[in-house]
Amino acid sequence: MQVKSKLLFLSSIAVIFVINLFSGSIDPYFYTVIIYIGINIILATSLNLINGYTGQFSLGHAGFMAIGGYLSIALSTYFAPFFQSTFGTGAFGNAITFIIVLLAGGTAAALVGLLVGVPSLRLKGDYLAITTLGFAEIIRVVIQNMDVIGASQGFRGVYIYANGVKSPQMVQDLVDMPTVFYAVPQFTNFFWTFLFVAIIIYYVSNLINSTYGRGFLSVKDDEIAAESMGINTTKFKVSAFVTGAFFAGIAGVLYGHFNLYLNPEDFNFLKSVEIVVMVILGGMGSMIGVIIAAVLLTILPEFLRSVSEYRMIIYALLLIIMMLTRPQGLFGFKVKLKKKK
Amino acid sequence: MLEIKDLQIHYGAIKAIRNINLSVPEGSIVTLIGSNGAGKTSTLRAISGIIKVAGGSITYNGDNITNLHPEKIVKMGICQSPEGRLIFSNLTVEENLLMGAYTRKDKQGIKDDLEFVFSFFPRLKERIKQLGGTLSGGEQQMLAISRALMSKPKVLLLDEPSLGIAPLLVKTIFEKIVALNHSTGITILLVEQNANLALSIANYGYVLETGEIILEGKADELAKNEEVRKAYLGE
Repeated sequence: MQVKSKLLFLSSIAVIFVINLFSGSIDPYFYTVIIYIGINIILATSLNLINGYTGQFSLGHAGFMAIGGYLSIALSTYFAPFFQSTFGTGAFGNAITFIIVLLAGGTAAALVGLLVGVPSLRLKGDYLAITTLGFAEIIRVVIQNMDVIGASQGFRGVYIYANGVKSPQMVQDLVDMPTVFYAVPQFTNFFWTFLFVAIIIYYVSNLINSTYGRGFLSVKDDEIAAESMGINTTKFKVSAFVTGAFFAGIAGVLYGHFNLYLNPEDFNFLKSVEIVVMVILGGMGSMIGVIIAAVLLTILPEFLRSVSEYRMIIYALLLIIMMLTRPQGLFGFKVKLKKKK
Repeated sequence: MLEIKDLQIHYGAIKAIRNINLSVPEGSIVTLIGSNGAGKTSTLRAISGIIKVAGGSITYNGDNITNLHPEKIVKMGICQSPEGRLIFSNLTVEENLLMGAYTRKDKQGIKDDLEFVFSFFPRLKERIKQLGGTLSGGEQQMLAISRALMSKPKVLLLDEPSLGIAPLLVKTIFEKIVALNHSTGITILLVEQNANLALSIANYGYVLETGEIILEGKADELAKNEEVRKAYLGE
């Protein structure tokens, strides 16, 4: 099974690469939707690791996404002269720059995940949800007040003046000085987005079917029993949290370098809820279900553009109907555990 | 083999266990009986390191294991089958058993032990691919005991194996516990509300009441004791 899934993984990367070559001929509107689908799959699958498989309840995924997103676009604009002179501006140079900012964004989110996770994972259920929600709001408010990344106006690039002053806005006193504007570069494309979709699916599905991964499932099932068996439940909870945060950070980087503009409001409470809805709708702990839910909930708002203010109401209704008719989600928990023997 | 000295366990201001002393010699079956809320489960959880001890010490083969991490205690050879079974209901029987061997690395040994528990509880083998949550109470208890055995413990802690199980199956399970003790020499600390049953298979017994040990003695003598008979055997 190991060999087979590795083969599948590698061949899917090849397919993604080939499709990317033709991405230019895709209608720009569809292209945008497709990229958002990819980003949402990454977000939902990574939250599924925390909420679905490990049975914790995190409501702060947008916070991790914000950290990855903002850190990475700050890096790729403020340090644009450095990156451009070191790696060049060709496709290859851009790829290296992007890998660096991707890893930086993911790692930063993971580190913050560790920082938040260690103290708060002693809490359970609702309390953990409140703590993580509070954390995400703190992140948002901090960003809203940081002038270097545009504060509440959002961030689309940085002006670098001849005297070395860097600012996301035009500086009044320096109007006459020569300046270069470094916009957020559009690094994200079909290849990068779906490369990470493939990576997270490959990683999580292998993890969950391994002996180590069963530790996550056991924590969800019964913590006392897991501890009695000598499973360090705290370690598993923290590692699920940190891994989830890492991929949320990556999703943030991809989002930032596709949208070319980030606003603190992109990462508000509703964004976190949206991701949670994907996980619950798809079925906690079901890989396929969550992916399908992520796709559906990305496409659905496109059809509801005319009534977009009511999107959250529709989400809520969907959830209520779901809880009444299929409390286990589109796909029940057991689907993903079926062994491919 | 397992020595408990002046153990104290507090839940906030409530003192659940007050200075109890307990000794479990190698190869024996020792039982801890008492009514609801006496502190039996707390004592077992403290031995496993799942709850923190407020005072006193727990030593195992001369090593102090008080307040060690649960996974270290399991690795040292003490494993428990928790109260109410607490099997992983979303994992299959086989996966449950493999979770029991979580701290072990020897693949062949795990395989052999899997065969061993299946020979001991053939019923589990029939249900190998079934989800834990779909088993009957008695089967779940067998699974919980087997899962604990998969860690290859030297001391097995059993928390109320008779709880919520059909009387006929209770008998089978207790016979299995004795057989296990005889065939492998494993040391067993058995916590039970069903005092009669527990004393009938144990070598030595302790009676726990509201956090204190009020009586102890050889199991057959305890079973004859007036006070015990009155309080726990319904006479």
